[in-house]
Amino acid sequence: MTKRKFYFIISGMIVVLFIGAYLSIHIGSVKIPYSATLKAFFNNSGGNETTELAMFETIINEIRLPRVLAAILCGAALSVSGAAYQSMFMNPLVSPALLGVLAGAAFGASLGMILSPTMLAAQIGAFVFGILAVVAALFLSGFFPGNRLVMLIMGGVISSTLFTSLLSVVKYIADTKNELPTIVYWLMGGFSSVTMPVIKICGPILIIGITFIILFSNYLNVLSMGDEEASSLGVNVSKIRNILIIATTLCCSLTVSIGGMISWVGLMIPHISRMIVGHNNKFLILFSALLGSLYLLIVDTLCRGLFTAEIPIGIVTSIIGIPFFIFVIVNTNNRWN
Amino acid sequence: MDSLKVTDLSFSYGNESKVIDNISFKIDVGSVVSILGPNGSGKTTLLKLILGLLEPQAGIIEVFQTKLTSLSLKERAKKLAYVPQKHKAVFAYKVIDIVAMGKLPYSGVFCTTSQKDYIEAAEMLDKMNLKHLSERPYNEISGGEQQLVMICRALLQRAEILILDEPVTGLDYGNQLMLLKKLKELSQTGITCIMTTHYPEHALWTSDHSIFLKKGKIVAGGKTDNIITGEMLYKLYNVNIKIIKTSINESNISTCVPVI
Repeated sequence: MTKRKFYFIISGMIVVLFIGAYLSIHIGSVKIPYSATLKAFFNNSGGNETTELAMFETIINEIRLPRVLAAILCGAALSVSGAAYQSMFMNPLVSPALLGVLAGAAFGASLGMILSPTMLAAQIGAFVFGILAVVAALFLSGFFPGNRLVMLIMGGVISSTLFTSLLSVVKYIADTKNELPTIVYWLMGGFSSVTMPVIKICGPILIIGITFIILFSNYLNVLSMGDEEASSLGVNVSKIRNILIIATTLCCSLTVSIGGMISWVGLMIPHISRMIVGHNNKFLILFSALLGSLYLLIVDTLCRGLFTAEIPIGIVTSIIGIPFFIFVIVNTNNRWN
Repeated sequence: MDSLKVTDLSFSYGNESKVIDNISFKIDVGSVVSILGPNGSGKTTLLKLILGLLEPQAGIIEVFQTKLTSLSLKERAKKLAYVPQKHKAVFAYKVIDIVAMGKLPYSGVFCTTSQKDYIEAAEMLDKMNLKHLSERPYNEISGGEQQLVMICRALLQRAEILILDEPVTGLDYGNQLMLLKKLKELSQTGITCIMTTHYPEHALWTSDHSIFLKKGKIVAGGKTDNIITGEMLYKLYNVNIKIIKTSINESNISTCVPVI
């Protein structure tokens, strides 16, 4: 793929993403006219607007816009993290959950829910324990001699299993009337509780994480050739891998803080992207970011627009993801080693 | 002038016995050197030490009279290029992408490769008569072509020493000879080639000098024709092999014939 063609596709996707976001804002239980959206965005009347327009403005700015932004940011973060992990760990079938970030974040959020009635505790818990789980994986991997990459995966398996068990403990001790249903529902994923302050705090960090992964995407090609080859080409493998692990961990733990467990995106989107732009990470990572954003935006819009009651997004991404995974295994097996 | 000088080098994995045991040698610029020895003799470990992928417990490695330890990773990559054993990339990168990786030692913080790097990669492929493979997935070309692509990448690194780990392993006879011929040609342009091999006849055909390793120690080293003898091969591999010398088109050729 030539650079010119690639940037043409990227420009097209950005336009589609903006149009998609604009359309998505209109979909929901309250129908908002298209003209009202622009007025709501740009109205500086200082409260002199009509009651109906004020209501639309509240719905758009406090409910719809935060979740549209959440879907876009989380989609991009999960997709670039997945693509980066697949290259870093030289395995097209790994997801960002490999080092335990999602298990840790799920435990942290559940713990927050039983310790405090506010969502803030769950969000902080998800972020902190997501990072802690990866730190535990890195720490544990240091104890094992041998291939660094394999030991990291071993550390990730131990950390994931530990935090999954701890999550079960939290579920077991949670109050079955209120806390347990909240935990279970939250683990299914969704952006219904996302607010603008959450986006204002998490958004910039997510953007920084995604930008870092995009900036370091050129390293991923050589990392996927193996540590020895990468070192012989002058790459400081441990340093670059750690930078990428930090960036992906920040991204993934924040996505759990914002929207709970949204599975399969980090596995599925990089594969679709490979089919379109090829395997070169120079193109793949940026394309995955935009495709992931568009995908979660569409799925989230369907989740709240298809039926009167909202469907948790994690359920939909899993339902779409499983047949896609089978399709990927059947169709691209002979291209992987 | 020495391109590589190894002095009193020792290495062991953890607390195990020494894999490389106090070895010293030097290699002239533009020569082809074969490192031979039975399985587990320390050939690959020695290459990894020379590349700086492993840290020796004792000894000094000098590349063009500069200590390897005083060179940064990028500086090392500009002097030493690695051609790994036959392998397949996990992802189906295009051949041109793989070759362009040879410019990484010259790239900046974000490891970006420019349009100019890709033009140079294309020129290198053309020079090696591999232009037709440029857009093909690396996974789908033959083993011999993959090794040539790796050499192409190493040449783009502009390194003066090529380190090849069993370059012909797994290749068919035609590809083996093609690769060896290419190494001989490269040495004539001043590039030093150091390779490990399991085939003494390959050393006889291509190498100016050879090093015999056994249990991490050098058992013989010097001009290939002088040290590859039936007696030495028996000492190394415990099998009877005769060295047959003949002359074809006025050039002397030696080869190994096993006595079964």
